[in-house]
Formats: sequence, structure tokens, C-alpha cells
Amino acid sequence: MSYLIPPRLNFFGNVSANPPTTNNNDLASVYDVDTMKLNNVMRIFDGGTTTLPAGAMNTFDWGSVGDNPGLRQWLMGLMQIPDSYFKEDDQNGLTHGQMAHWNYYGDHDTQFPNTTINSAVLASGQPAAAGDDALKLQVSLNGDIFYGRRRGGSLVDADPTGLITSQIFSGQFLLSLPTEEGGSFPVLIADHPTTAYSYIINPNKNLNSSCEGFESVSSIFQFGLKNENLTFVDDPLFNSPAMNDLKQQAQLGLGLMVRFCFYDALFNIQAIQLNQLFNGMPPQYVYNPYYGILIGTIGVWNNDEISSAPVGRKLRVQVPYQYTPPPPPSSLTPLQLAEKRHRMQTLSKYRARVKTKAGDPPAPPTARLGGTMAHVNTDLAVVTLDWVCTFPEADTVTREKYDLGPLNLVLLYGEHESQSVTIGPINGNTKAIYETSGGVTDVSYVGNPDRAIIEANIATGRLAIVAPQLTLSPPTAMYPLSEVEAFDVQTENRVVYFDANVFNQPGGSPIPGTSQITIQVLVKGVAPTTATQVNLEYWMCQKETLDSMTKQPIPMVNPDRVQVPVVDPYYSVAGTVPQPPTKYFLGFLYGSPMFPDGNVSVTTEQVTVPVGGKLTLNLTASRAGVSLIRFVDPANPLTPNFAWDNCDYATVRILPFDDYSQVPDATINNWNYIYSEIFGFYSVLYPVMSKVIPWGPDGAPNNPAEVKQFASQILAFTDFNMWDTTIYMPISRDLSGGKRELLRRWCNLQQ
Amino acid sequence: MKRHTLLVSLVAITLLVAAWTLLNTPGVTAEPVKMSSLRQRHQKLKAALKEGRLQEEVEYGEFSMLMFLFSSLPAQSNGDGTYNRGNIAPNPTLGPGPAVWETMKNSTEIYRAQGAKPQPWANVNEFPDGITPLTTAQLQQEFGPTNSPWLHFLLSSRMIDGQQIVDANANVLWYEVRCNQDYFNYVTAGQYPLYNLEGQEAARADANFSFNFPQDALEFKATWRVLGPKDDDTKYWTAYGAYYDATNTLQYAKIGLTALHIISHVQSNWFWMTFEQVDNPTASFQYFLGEPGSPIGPNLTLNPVAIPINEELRLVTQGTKWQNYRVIGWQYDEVRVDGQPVVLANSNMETYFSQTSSCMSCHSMANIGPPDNRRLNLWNTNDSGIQGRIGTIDFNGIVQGMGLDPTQYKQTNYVWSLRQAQSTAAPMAQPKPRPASR
Repeated sequence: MSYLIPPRLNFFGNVSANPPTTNNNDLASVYDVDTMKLNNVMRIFDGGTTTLPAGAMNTFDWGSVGDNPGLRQWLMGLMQIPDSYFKEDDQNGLTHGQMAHWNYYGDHDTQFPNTTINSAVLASGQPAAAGDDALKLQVSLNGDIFYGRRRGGSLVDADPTGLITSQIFSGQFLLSLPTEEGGSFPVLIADHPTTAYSYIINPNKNLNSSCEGFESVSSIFQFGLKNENLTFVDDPLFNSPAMNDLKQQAQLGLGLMVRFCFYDALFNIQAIQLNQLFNGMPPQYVYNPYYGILIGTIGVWNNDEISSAPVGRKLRVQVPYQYTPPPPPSSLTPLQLAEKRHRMQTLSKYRARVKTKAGDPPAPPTARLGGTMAHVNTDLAVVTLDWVCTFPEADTVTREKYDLGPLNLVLLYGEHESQSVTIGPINGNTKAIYETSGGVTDVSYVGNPDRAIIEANIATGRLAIVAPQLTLSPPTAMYPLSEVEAFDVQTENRVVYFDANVFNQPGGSPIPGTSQITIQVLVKGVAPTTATQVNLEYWMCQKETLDSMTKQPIPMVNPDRVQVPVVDPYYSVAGTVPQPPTKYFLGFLYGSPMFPDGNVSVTTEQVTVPVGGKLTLNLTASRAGVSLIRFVDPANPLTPNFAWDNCDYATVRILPFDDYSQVPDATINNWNYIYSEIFGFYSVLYPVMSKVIPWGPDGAPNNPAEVKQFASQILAFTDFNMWDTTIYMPISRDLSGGKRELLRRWCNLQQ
Repeated sequence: MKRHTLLVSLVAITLLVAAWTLLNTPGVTAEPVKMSSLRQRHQKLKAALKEGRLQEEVEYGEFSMLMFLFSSLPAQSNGDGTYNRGNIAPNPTLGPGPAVWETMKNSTEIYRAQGAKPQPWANVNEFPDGITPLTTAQLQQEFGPTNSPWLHFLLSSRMIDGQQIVDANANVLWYEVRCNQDYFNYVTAGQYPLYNLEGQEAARADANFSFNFPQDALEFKATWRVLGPKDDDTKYWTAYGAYYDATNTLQYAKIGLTALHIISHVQSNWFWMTFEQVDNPTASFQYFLGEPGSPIGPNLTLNPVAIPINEELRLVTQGTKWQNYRVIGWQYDEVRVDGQPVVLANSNMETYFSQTSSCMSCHSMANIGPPDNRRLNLWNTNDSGIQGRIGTIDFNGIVQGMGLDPTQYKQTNYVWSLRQAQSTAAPMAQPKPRPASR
């Protein structure tokens, strides 16, 4: 099973990611993700107060692109975020934010700075010798070639208003050996990595009381490197048994697989400083990327494995545990701590999200262990665990692990799982071991006196983690993390984009757009030998809430946007059997304006997946918008967590039907028209593009005659064949087929 | 390299040294007989090139150097402050003035708004309609004297890939394209009015028409940097420039030449030459997303044969601004004799994709297609990204590879500047440019 089976190379370092935030915005309702239009009335965080620019209102009324210059200034302004929202988490209360949120000038660039291979495991399962040259390698994530240059990969959120589906497009994964002269030469060149998608977003990765925003969050990504795109550079100066093993094993399978985890990430510049920079003389339109820790491993991509999704036996049935928030790092001065508290404008309350009911005593904070993948090697009597996002840190500076006490891996077996046997201790939940392991550890049962019981039941039993010192909630629970009951569902089509309508033929009539998602059912990590019933549930990120004053629906603009049931379907799936709605109590919704009792009821349909576990779902669009399709075991419908780390799902993004087919060339070949329909949108949402293509608005590079000279480039960048590259424009992928056709017609008229 | 070729070259170069020194010494008259010798050598090489008789790499290099020299001689004055544009028989008694190539037609004069007919060759109207440029006297008063009094309208700060480079002051570099009278006549007075889109479309639709410029057609592409009052201009050929800046405001400046392309239709697939100012590797800087980067560094496509030729060029031009320029390379085929693709780039024009830059390969993609797909892209785009094209270009194969009908696309004889042509239909309405900020 992929990197869970040796050989593997483990790496550790940093990650830098620079996504733009105006369309991905927890502080102002700038953009309607469904219609892909700017909102006519842009509101700030409910209860917030706009403080800059001077005289600015709490709402911005946008009527047309003529308002873009003012909108740009408003977005770069400042708001004071309501005291009440943060008091329960942050003693300092008040904080500030920009209407464009934390990174107006982000460009999606994503890199792995300071990242090196720091351990390796040979095919035999033994660690590589200290002298193995693989341990000297630098790790790089590059983009595709952009006129002779490569930058980093591109981090793109498929659902900008949601928090659970990010994608990373990249052009090259590179391992290189540093030279004494300060250069490096490549040892492994891997072109065209498959698109990576976020998995198992763990909001409890760091439990420190000073954690802000992303600091407490981790996310796993994974991509594949196909053999035909791999170049192992033989060099007599490079001697690595570990790399040799990896090369040999890769050639027996599909190639290599890279699984990595981002955590402990925080951006550098707080909102007040950003505002000052943007409005200084001269203005400094700086990036504000987040910078965090990266840990990962490179393993073999075996035949029949999905490149972008975890494989193996999945432990993700979670029971919350109580914890004591560790104090802020002692190395932080009071000033640093104060700055830190004000840096993350939203202070999103990923931790301790279950709200207590009125009259209940205050509940101690709880957290969940992150999901774990496991592989059982019966030959070696070892269970390999992917613990990369499982156990939390206690400190944001030292990154020491939170003391969970002893941890054991157990096997539940027998009728009704009435029996259990300890497979072995999960050793080494320490910073030192974790950071040099790639987040993979082995639990051996070689000398276990119950080895026979384990061997007899491990294929059918359920794996679980026991942590005796933890108090679980409810206290009667025994396992903070255990394996799924029956099966899980993975898909390589983690994100699909298609248009609400397309023309059945040139000049013909519009018909609904279609797409496909192929799912793979896995029972304990392998394809099932019987047919399987899978429920499909239709969810979406919460888009509306109630105005606190008027009680009328308004766009929701804070980080409390979670997944809620779809009421008006975005699409239909062929061949499904309707089921009664599935009901859930979502504690994190309890007391919210739209869902005061926390109860939701979600539309549910069922499909039968044949033997082998593979089925292609055929989707037909009903309307434009972004939503989720969740794949559920009907017998064990787990209540979704806040970050959906216990759910299998795909994101479906249906782009609006923008029909310009009847618009004559003479109308299109007009700057004001194309600016109104296309460029004006990107110029305010993604202003970094104005640094490349000077399309304004006023105050930004603005030279229509030069934009015209980009016609040839725009045609190349918007070519669908470039979709999987870092060259594709728009990087955000939010361009409907109709607008794309309009843009290309305009380009044709310019050359 | 054959010995006799080198000897002939060195003799010619020696003559050039004397003549050039005289030409650039104010008040000194070059002896007509020496000018005549130089021109004879140039013409001889040109004739051999036309007939495909040039065999030696050094001869191509020598021809390139002579093209640069003769194009850079002072243009002939009309005696009234104007110049006999494009004249390559300069009056040697006048000393420095606009180089001959500077006086050729700016592409903005040929491809005009609404596809309007260009004004006659002798007229100078580089600016958009409605703009009255500053006079030479005004420019001299504001920016001081320059080597050339010519006011260049600089259309773009973008290289062909849309990207930019900057100087040490973080000012972007600027680009212009100029064409000689043979080019101009072909576009404006041929079978079709190729200066507008409709004329080109008619040419495309005519199955019996092939784009084929005259053998004496020339095109120049120049790169200029803005020279502020504190900048050292002693190593740059200077002139005046005007351009619309990033805020669409008309700006005037003293400018210094950093690079020059010359292409000549002396052979069927044109002959391609490129030249640079010697300080470019450290004086020009990468620029991306508004952030200046590292110096662009040495031009790795420099033709080694150009090294001795440049030594001669330096001697020939000693004592003049032109001694600070050098030949980078030339191209007469898409591939070398060993079958490897020719790679040639100007570091100030093809900065970022220099390793996949081939003048001839790129320009062989110059084309016109049907209205719904007007120009096939010159770039090589695939799942590795976007790069230049090098090596032999199978145009029809590329078109077919795109799933298109090759009969709908016509190559335009290596001339990409034709795509500047605009339609006679309603123009693209634009925000009104701001007036000059001074």
C-alpha cells in the first residue's frame, strides 16, 4: 500500500503558500461563489465596523465595473471585528481585518523551502544507513515551465467559500543534491505530478492556547508521479541504496507517490500593517503568504492505487477527548504574543466548537485525533500507521507533542467486537521521532504473546487506538480513534468542474452540462468481492445566515461557514434510488441563526456499486453552484465533523451558463464591454494579475493597449489542455465556458 | 574557417575602422572612395547571401556586423531639421544624427487605428491620432542633448511573451518595431492592403496569393531603457522616447538603446541578426509580478564565432557610442548541420525563454487564420508549460495536430508584425489616455 510499504524517503521542512483571499473571504461578502459574480451589496462580518478608508461604510454597493476603483480601496481598508465573537477564545478580544481578508495580492504560489530528506527506509524495512546520500537531498515543488522559468505549484481552493477542498497543481517534483559551490544537481526529476487534493483536515493538530487560525490546523495532500515522467539521474557521486530501492520498486508499479502534510502555518503581516503598506507612499502591494511546517514521505505508487487519495485501512471514527490547553510558548515575549493574537484576523474557532446548551456547565475543551491510515504486513507482523496528522502538538514554537500518555494499537474482533487484543504500543509520539519519520511508524507484533489471535483476526477485525490517560467524551467511550465499520469510498475525481449548460452543437440549443465521478469502494483498503450499497448525500458550504438585526437572510461571511444540506439541488445523479433524508445533529451548528437546534436533514440517494467496488456516477447539472457529494455507508452514517475529516466526498463545481453566442463581434471588440464582462472581475478579485496584465482598475497598472498585446498569451493560457498545469488561467479555475469563449473571441479580434 | 575568408574580412574591417572614425568625427568628411569600398564589401556579401553562396559562418557574422554598421550610420538630413528617412547613403559631413534605422517607419505608422491607410513613406506620424508630440527643441530643453534627435514612439514595454525586464532604477524597458521602405511598400501598395485586417483576410482567402515580402525588405526591433538625469549615458546610443506608462499616461524621456534585432529578407526564410549593448548582463534585471529580480546575466546563446567579429566591431567603432554594442548571433536556418536546433535569443527581448528561442522557428509560425481563430499561437504549449519553438517547424503538421484544417491557415512569410493590423470596423473603445505628465 503506497508509502505505507517500504521503501520510502521521508522529508521535513517548510511550506509557503500564497493564495489570494478576496474570493475566499471570511470577512466580507464580496463574491457569490455560485453565480461567480460580485455581490451588489458587499457586507462585512456581521457586527463588525469599518474603520478605514476614512468614511467607508460597513457595506459597499457595487453596481458595475465603474465602481471597481472604489471597491479596490474598500477591500484594502480595515475593519474592527466584533468583540463578542472572539471573547470566548481570545482574552484580548478585539482584532482587525481587511475586507479583502489576509492576502489581497496572493498569487497561489506554493513552495517547499528549506525541505530536505531526513530519513529513509529500505525495501527490507530497515532504516537507511547514515551515509546514504539520499539523506542529503533537497526537496522542491515546482510549477510548469513559464517561458523558461519555473515558480512553485499553485494552491487553489475548489470551493473558495468552503474550507475543505484545496487543490495543488504542480509541474515538477525535484530531489537534488547540494554542491559545495552552493548549487545543486538533480537526482530525481519528476514531471507532471497528478493534482493533489486536501484530505483529513485536522483542526486539532496543535492544542496550544495561543494558536490562531491555521496554526492549529493540518492538512494532508497527496500526488502521484508516473513512471513515464520520472527521471532518475545516475551519477557516480551519488550513492544511495534507499534511492535505488525506490527506483526498482517504482518500476514494478505505476511510479512514485508523495504524501505530505502542512501544519503550524501562519502568515507574517497583520491586517493593520497590511493596510498601512497598501496605502503608503508609495503603496506597497505585498504578498502575505502563510508559512508553515511541511512533513512528508515519498513511496511507491503501486498498481491499481489512487494517486491522490489515501489508501490502506482507514481509522477515522473519532471520539473527542478532553485536554488542557498548554500555555503560550514561554519564548514569546508579551509583545510577540500580543502581535500574534492580532495577526490572524478571524481567529477561527476550530477548536472547542461544540457549544454548550443553556444551563449546562462549561465543558472542558475537547479535540479529536486526526485520521490515520494503516497497512498490515502479515509477513513481517507489522502494522504501519500513517500518523502524520494524528497526534497533536502542544507548542507552536518548540512543536513538542502534547502528552497523550501511553498509546496502544488494538484489534477489536469477535461477535459485536466483544473482544480486543493489543497489537502493540505506538511508540515515539515525540517531536524528534515524528519529524524524522515522515509521519509513518510501525507497530510490531512479532513478539506479541497474542500473535496467533492477532493473525487470526486482523483481516476481519477493526483497528483502534487506546489512550488510557485520556478522558473521552462521552466518558464511556473507549477508543479515541478506530477503523471504519465497513468501507470507505475514494475517488480520483475529488473535484469536478463543468458548465450548467452547453450547446448541443455549434449554433444549436443549450442543454444541461454533464460530468462524471468514478468512485472506488475499499473494504479494509482492498476492493470488495461483493456488491456494495453506497448512500449519496448532497451538502454545500453554508452560504447564508440571518442578519442579527433584521433577521433576514444575508450572505454568510465568517469562518463559521460549515457544510449544510443542499435544499435546491445543483445537479442530479443518474440511476440513484431515493432514500429517506438522513438526519444529523451537528453540535457546531447548535445555537446558530439558521440552525438553532443543530439538527439537519440531508437529501439522500443510493447507488449499488458492483463487485470490485468501482462505479461511475453520471451527473447532470440543474443549476450553477458549488456543492459536495458525500459517499456514506448506509449502515454507519458518521456524523460529519466540522472539517469533514471523517467523511468521503467530492466537490462539484457547476459554472454558470454565460451565453454570449449572439453578441456580435463589434460589441465584443470594445474595451469597455470586455472589461465589464471579464477583466473587471479579475482585476478586483485577483489584483496580482494586474502586475502581469495591466487591466487596472485605476490605481493599479492600467493600460488597455498593452492588454491587447496579451491576446496571444491569453489564448494559450486559457486553453483547456493546460488545465492541469500551473500555467492555466485563471489559476482559480473560475471561468465559465461561456465567458471563456467570449474571452477567446475578443483575443481573436485583437490579432 | 577558411584563411582567405578571414583575410578578406580583416581587410574590409580595417577599411571600416578608418571610415567609421572619420564619419563620427564632427566636421570631418569621409573619403568617398573608402565608403565605396565598405559598401562594396557589404553588397558583395549580400549578393552572395541572396544567391546562397555564403558558406562560412564568419561571413554570416561579418555580414551581420556590416548590417549593423550601415544601419547605424547617420541618416541624411533634408536640411530643415527633418531626415530623409531610411536613406542608407548618409551625408558623411554631418556627423552624428539619427541612425538610418531609427528613421524607418515605426510599425505604429503602418498598422493604424481602424486599419487606416498609412501616410506616405516620407511622412512622420508615429503617435496615435490626436497627439501632438513635443518638438525637438522642447525635448532638448527638458532632457538635454542626445546622439539622435529622433523622437521614438515606443508602443510596448512587453516582450513577445508578455513579460518585462527593468533597469537598475526598476524602470521597465521599451520596445519598438521599424520597417524599411521595401517592407512598407509591400504592405501598403501591393495586391492587398495588408495594413488592415480586412486586407489580410482577403489575402488569406485568395488561394493564389502567398505572402512574400521583397528581397530587400528589412525589419528592425529595438529595445530602449529610460535614462534619468543621474544615469550614466556615456555607453548608450541616446535618443528621445515617448510611451504610455502603466497608468496610461503619456511620458517623454531620454532613452538609451540596449538591443537591436535586424531581419533581412535577403534569403527566402529571412536572415536574422541580433545585437546588444555590452552592459546588459548586469544592467538589465528580471521583473515579475512587480518585483525586480536578479540581473539577467550573460547571453548564453552568444555565437562563439561572433567573439572575434566583436573585437573587430569594437575597433571599427572605437571612439563612438557604437563601440559599446556587439553582435550576439545570426540565424540562416532552423537547424545546424548536425541537425540540432539553432537557439538564438536577445537577452533584452527573449529574456526568459532564451533556451527555447529560435528567431526563424518562432517566426515561421507567423500566420493568419479564419476569423474565429485569427492567429495560431506561436508558443509551444503542452503539459510541461509554455515555451518557445525551436527546430524545424512543420506548420501544416502543427495545424493538423491542433485538429484544424491547414487550408484555412496561411503563413505570412515569417512576419509577425502583420498581426498589429487592425480592423476597419469599429475600433476598440479605450479609456482616454491621460495627457503627458511633465
